[in-house]
Amino acid sequence: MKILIADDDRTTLHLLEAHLLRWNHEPILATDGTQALQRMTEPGAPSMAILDWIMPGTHGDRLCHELRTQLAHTPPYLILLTGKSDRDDMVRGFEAGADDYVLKPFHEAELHARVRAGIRILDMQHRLGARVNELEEALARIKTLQGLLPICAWCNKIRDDRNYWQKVETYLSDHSDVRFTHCICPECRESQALAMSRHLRKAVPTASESAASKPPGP
Amino acid sequence: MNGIELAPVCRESTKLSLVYDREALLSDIGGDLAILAELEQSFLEEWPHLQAEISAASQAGAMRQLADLAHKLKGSFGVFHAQRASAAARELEKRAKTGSAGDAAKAAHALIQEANQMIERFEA
Repeated sequence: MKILIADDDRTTLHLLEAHLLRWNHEPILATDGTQALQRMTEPGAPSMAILDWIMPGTHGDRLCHELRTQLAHTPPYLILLTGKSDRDDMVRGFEAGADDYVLKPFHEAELHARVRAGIRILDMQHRLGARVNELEEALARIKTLQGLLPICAWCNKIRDDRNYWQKVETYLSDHSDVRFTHCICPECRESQALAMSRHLRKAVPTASESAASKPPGP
Repeated sequence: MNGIELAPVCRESTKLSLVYDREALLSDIGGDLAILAELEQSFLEEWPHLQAEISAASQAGAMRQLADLAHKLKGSFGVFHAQRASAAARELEKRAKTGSAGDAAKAAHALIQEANQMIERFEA
């Protein structure tokens, strides 16, 4: 998994890089806040970041706030890694948008556990997002069927969102899980049978009709 | 006698580990000597620039810059488990934030000395 690490202290950056590689992740490095913001907002950006607080460019707390604002639809998991140990700083960090807060000097196993916890949360967030998308799609279909539909009073075709007139069965098939099987209702069968017999009578006269219409022989 | 009196050898090893605890760092990185060498090398390359920045900021009385440099170095010293240098960095950060320029300059000088002692123990 790609994880951004941002720290202006090259020794700490190097140590974090070594840890992430040992944990089979792909570290993306940034040595200041501006670079970190750029890396996190470009296409294919990491979904997790370990951020120092005091850095040139943009400080970690400001960075958390910016990332929360800019990536509201795909929120990354943000860990502040800092030597600022005051409780007030910790509260400020969380309020700025950090998901976790680790103190320097950090313990490797602890940081690893926190990264794993972050991955679990990102995974859950991803699965929930996919489910919400599915539900939104389903809801959109239902809304279409619940809306006001213009229908031709003569041929019963329905006008869709793109201004095309469609047969009722085509429209309903496209906007729901309904499938049609064609048959004839009793009323239609009766009326159609009557019409059909009239038609046939015209086309093929009966024997008496034929005899009546036949001119007398010599 | 109050407390435990350490044997001379013990006292010496404790003192050295306060300067740079190589074993603790090795344990942090799973005993990987290559990473250890890279970390030492990385600090060795950066230190002359940092030292120059500290000296310049100290002479100019640039307290904010001194505080930021001390904060940054606290991170590096933490990696090397260099307790004495870490304490010196904390002191400089505190002095630069609240003390006089004279106090900060003394603290900056002490930090440079501690960092140089730490570097002397590097094997890179």
